Amino acid sequence: MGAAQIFRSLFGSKAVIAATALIAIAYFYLIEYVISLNAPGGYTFVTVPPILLYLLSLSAAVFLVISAFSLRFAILRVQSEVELAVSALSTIVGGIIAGCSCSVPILASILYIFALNAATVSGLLAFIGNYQVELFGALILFNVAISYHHLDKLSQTCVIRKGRIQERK
Amino acid sequence: MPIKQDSKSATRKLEQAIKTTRMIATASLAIGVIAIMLALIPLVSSYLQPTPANFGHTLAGINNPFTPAQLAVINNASSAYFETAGEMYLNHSLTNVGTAPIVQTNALIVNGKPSIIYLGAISCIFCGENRWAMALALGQLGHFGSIYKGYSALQDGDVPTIYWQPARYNVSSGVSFGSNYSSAYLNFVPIEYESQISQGFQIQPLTYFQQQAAAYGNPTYISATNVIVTLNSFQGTPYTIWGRDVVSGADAIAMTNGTTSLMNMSHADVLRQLAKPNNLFAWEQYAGADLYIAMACASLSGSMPPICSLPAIKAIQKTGGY
Repeated sequence: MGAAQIFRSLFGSKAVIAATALIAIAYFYLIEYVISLNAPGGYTFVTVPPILLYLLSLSAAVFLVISAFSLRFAILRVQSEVELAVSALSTIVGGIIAGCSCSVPILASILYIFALNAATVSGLLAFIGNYQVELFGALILFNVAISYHHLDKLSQTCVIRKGRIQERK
Repeated sequence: MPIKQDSKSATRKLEQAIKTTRMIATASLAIGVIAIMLALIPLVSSYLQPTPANFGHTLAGINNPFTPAQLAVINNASSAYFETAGEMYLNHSLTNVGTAPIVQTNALIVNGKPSIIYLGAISCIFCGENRWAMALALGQLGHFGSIYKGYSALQDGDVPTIYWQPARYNVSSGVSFGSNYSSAYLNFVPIEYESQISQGFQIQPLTYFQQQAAAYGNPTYISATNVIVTLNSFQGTPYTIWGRDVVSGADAIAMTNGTTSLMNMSHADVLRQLAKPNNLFAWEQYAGADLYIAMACASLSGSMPPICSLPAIKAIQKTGGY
């Protein structure tokens, strides 16, 4: 049994699809909120294509649902708990990257706390500004890759009986 | 029996080898797919982004000098406008002014005068918006011989703005130093990052600006870039130092007049509103200028420009602790 079968079985339910959609919408607003925190004067300005925002929200939501589902299985519980946080973290990082990196007071303040100097902070801001789309794409791919890895693990641990995913005995 | 055992162990080893090979093949395939997708993202996104249909029209008049009448709006703005805007700021009628964090340092003194240092980028939308307030302030503290029509990056909304000098908006990376500005009271030290305006926001690390200043060979700009690096307060652009006060960001976010966004205004629209301020956008620009003037005046000693004695400027100095 492969990852694809587990995916089909898990997302074959309308309730799961609805839950994923709601989480994706919540994540989208989380990204917008983080952008507004970093925006000068609260003036929200998104400089990545909107499609990337939607894809990040969706991929993080799918990742969250898979991790949450895995909490049922003792063997995957610890890993799943960590991944629940990672899923939200990927959208927060996305929010930091998605705004105009010309002015990022919150991120810069955090970096200065870690005793980085202006030369290093400006280097990081320049990197985010110059590779914004690529970084956003990497976050989406990260979510997809981790989700696939998790589904693969599930496929080794579980079986599908009568359309339901159950722990292999 | 031993033959059977050997055969079983050989089969097991073969199965393990096949398993390992499959894993390596799957991992290689996954890495390959990820690498291809990463490479394709910029290509795909360039199709997805709202690229203006007419590049030349959007950048109408770029690098053209302001006409004498347009320049007069900046150089000769009535002090009454600054007073009214200052009072509006002080009675909290304007909410998007005074938003940037401010710290104090020692002023960079060149030729016996304190300096106003500016670090920005032509592709930066907030720099584009902020240059209007800066120009209004500088016009009261000295005189522009010329300024030029500019825009922020096409992919960040293409805000109409001022360039301190004609910009190389097609270079992959460069820095321009200086302007056609003179003042009896202070020095204006503008440092502007130049990149392809058809792209989004781009910048380089501060060390790049230090290297470019060294290559330019002007001691004022070398000192200015060194000051910015040593202050450890850089949070992005625009970054300005008004004598003793370091402003990390735009001091007023005036992006709309209530009905039209700055992105949808032309230079003529902006200048018309600044010439006779009667809306939110214009008052916020004047109030942003007031804050800069208050900081600059606080760094001056001896003779001062008349704008420094406006009651609103003195009140802003008091409330701001400049």
